[in-house]
Amino acid sequence: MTQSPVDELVPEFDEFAIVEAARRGQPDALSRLYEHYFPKVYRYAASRLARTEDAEDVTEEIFLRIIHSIGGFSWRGLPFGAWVFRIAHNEVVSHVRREKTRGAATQLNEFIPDPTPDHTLVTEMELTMQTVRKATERLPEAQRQVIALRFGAGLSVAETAQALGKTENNVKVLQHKAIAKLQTMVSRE
Amino acid sequence: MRLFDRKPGHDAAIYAEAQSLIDDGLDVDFVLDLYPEDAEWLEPLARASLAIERAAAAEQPSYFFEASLKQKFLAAAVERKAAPLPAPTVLAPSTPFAGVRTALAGSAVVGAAAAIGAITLGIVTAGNATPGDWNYAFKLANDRIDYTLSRGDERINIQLGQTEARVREIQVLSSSGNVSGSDIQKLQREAQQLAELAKSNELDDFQKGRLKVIGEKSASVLTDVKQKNAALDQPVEDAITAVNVAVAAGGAGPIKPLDTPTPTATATPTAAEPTATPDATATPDATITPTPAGTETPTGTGTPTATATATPTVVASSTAPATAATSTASESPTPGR
Repeated sequence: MTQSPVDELVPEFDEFAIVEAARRGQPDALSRLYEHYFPKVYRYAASRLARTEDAEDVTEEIFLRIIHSIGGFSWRGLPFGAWVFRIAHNEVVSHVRREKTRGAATQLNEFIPDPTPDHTLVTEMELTMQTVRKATERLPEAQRQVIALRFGAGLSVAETAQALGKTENNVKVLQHKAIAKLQTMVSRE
Repeated sequence: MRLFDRKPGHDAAIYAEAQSLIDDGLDVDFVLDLYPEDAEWLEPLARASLAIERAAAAEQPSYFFEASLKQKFLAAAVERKAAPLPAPTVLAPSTPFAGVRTALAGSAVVGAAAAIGAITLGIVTAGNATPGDWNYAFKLANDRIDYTLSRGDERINIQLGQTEARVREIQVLSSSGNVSGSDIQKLQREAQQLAELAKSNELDDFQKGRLKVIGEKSASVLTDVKQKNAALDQPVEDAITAVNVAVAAGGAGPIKPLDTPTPTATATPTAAEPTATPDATATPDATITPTPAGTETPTGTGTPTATATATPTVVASSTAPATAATSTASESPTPGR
């Protein structure tokens, strides 16, 4: 049985019906839409931005932009998720530009070791993420986007291609190159 | 050998395939076992991507943030719903006034077409209009246009025609008793304009003939008006004067009927000569009929003498009515002249 692009993007999620209901302002549909996309969008922002506060701010901006622009959304052969992550990408880029203009340091997220065992596990993972972020910042923008969408937001290759407006093969190549570089950089850390 | 067996991007495809299996929840080692030839280069990539995924998944938002943002999201949706929706991208009328505008535009077009039709009808049918008719204004407008666009002889002919038209209009109105002072003033103005033209242009014989007819006919028509409505006495007098001036300016010669109301005979006979009654023996000779009397030739019942051919016809003939002709003839026996 052939899956539609919508099914591929969000299985068990009747995207068309929910989005249309959300455009009409139905609270249930809006709630489901939020719950479906919030984790992905937040992780995408967190994978692109060093500080949790920045990730939260950008995630909020993304969702407010979605709710203000959803009336103008039209189905043009792309799933709603692609539209969402294009908004997310634009907001992240805008935020990074603003931060650069302000000269704000993104390196303030200093790690303070906690002696308790439970926290050691958590900080070890966080450290890994910081390492990944630092390494990712040295990648070309296209590869960085693919890494954020594929491993941050958890999108598939097809969804990432739709969100970025690229072919799946292009995304596969970018993903392969990016992971190869990251693997080298992370192993050196 | 491997380098020659694979196309560019093959490794990327293998890695993407393996990674999708890992994404689906399969163990990394199990997946690597599926690609024994590629396991060597595939394993570090798979482990790295897995570490990145786990690191990203560990970035969990706080419950407070997620809940508060959801509240903001739903509140923004309510605000958006309350705000006016953006204009739909359809070709249907976009505002509630579009229908009214269309109706007004249609009415304007229909009104303009009706106005053009009425004007055309008015112009076409205005030829025989008289004052008081709905299309009389078109007739006057046509007259003005014709006069303005004409020059020289053509202008004189047009002015003659317009003066004739005013006389005919008064005649028609008089028959129904509807003549007003303004109608007569129209004739007066036409006559004055005709006089101006006649003073500055030499009229040909035909034009003089028309002018003479105008004088004669207007005299009789105005006399009739005056008899029917004494209140129009003054306008009639003014119009007659204007016509006489025009006739004189055009050199159209004497006009007989015009002097009926006010005989201007300045004949030599005076009231002091009551003896000038027709003498039975003084009947004129039939062969020497007094010419000025024109239409009123003596009856010949008298006995004219040779002296009867003398002077009396000269002045009186130009203005005297027919009744006066007989008296002038009777004045002839003034042998002293």
